[in-house]
Amino acid sequence: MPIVDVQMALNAVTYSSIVALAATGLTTTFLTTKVPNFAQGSFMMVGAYTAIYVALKWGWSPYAALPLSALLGTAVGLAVYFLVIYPLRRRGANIMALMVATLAVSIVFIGVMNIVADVFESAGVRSRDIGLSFLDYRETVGPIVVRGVYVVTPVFAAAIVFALYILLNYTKIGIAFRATVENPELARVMGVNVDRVMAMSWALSGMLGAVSGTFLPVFLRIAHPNIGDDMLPTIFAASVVGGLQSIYGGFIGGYIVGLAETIVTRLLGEVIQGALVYRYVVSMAIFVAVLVFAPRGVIGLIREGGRKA
Amino acid sequence: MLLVNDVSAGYGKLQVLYGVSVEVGRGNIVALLGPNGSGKSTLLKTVFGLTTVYSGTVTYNGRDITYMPPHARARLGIAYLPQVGNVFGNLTVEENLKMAAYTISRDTFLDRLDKVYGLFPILREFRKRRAGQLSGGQRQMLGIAMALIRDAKLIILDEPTAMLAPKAAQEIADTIVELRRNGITILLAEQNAMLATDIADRVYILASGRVIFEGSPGDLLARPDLGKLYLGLTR
Ligand SMILES: Nc1ncnc2c1ncn2[C@@H]1O[C@H](COP(=O)(O)OP(=O)(O)OP(=O)(O)O)[C@@H](O)[C@H]1O
Ligand SMILES: [Mg+2]
Repeated sequence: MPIVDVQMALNAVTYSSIVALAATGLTTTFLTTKVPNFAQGSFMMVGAYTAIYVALKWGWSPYAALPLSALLGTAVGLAVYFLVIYPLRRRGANIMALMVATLAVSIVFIGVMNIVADVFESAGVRSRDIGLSFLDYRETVGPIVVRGVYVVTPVFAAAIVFALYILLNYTKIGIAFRATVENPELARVMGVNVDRVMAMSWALSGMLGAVSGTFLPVFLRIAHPNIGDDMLPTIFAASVVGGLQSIYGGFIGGYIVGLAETIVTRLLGEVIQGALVYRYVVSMAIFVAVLVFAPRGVIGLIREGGRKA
Repeated sequence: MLLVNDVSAGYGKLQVLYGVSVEVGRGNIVALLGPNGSGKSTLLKTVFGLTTVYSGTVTYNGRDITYMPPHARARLGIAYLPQVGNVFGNLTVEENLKMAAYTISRDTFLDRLDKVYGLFPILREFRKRRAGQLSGGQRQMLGIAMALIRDAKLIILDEPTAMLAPKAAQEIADTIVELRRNGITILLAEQNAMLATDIADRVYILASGRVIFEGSPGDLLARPDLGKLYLGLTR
């Protein structure tokens, strides 16, 4: 059997698309408010449980949960900004305080999601150790199982990054976003409402996290109330590897880390027969290597290369 | 038009200006001179509302604006070009101008964009280029264009010719004179005393946060002691 077969490639690209969406959200809020947001996984859980509810309670396709997920994610992102980040920043909190605050939010969220799971269960919606992949479209082509999620997730991720590109380059608020990222002081002098741009970035991040999370229970065999936080190391690695100075860094990093994680984990599994391979080892190894050798990430490498040329 | 009256100001608890008074008449070019750290930038920032004012008043067209927030002053027709970081390096020339015109309607913006490009044809040529890739002089032109596009009545320029070759500095100076011809009032800080005395209607010298000289450029040139002590003029 070849080391990388088609089935595995399909899985790897789908997984990477999920990571890329969430990591783009993480990078977005880091760019504007300079907070490494540990609650990014919480945004994913909002999407995951929206999908579970919509699919199991209403009997819709899990993909039909996407608009509702996006809406709820936006609301949660805004709530975290206005209830936690904005008041702390106003009081001049440093990055450490803000980071710990988002960590607190994510811990609270694990509790909240467990309650949500219990409530869902008592409403007759199975919410623990449940996957939605059985609801997905699937077709067997020779030895390969083609699933709907293999197509929908990458296409959706590509559409999102295209929409982001349009927003950032062709709309006034998008240009104001880039201006604020570069020099908030000057943006303010120009009359840009910087606080609104920051709020918008959190809304966007919540939305991206939630739509990414919507795909999780469809893709994975089992989902549980901690599912988003389990993704956190991978997402952080993706953002750093891609480069934290560009909104596209999270996207590019998502594919690098996602593909590496899937493929290397599989390879190690074959070499070390029967050994349990802990997949975070791979993303954390890349994470550390990038921090040491290319702290500005892949985008930084591309830009520096471009400058030399 | 602008009256800074006995102002003491600084940054938080750090006082920089001590009872400074400056008057800027409509349609005039007023230059602030003085050694590094004498408070020129701080005075300009105070006029735009970016410092802490402890006492004194700033009036603009008879209206007390001492404690008005910067964006409200922008709406009154005051534009400010900071000494450093006055353009967005990652944005294109045109995007920078769009940001400068953030509070203006699209039609007015396009109209003024045309005028600004008329004044600085090089900016039209480089409109798709990232501002970070412009030369120092081109960047200053962009900064001034950003102040202009807001249709400011009073433009505050902090060392618009800093780090420019003599020829580029002269071009900026010519532009400033051109602005005065169009009825715009200008308050600027300058290191280049020769250039400043060349174009200004009135000159102030600051030292250690106090005004130690005020008068016409002619008055200043008649005081070689001041020139030698504070401005490096040896003529
Ligand atoms: N943002 C700031 N916070 C605190 N102190 C400041 C700040 N900016 C300037 N200062 C201090 O205020 C004093 C005056 O600085 P200012 O920038 O007004 O001088 P300047 O006359 O513009 O000098 P230069 O010719 O070098 O631009 C200096 O001692 C400086 O250290
Ligand atoms: Mg200065």
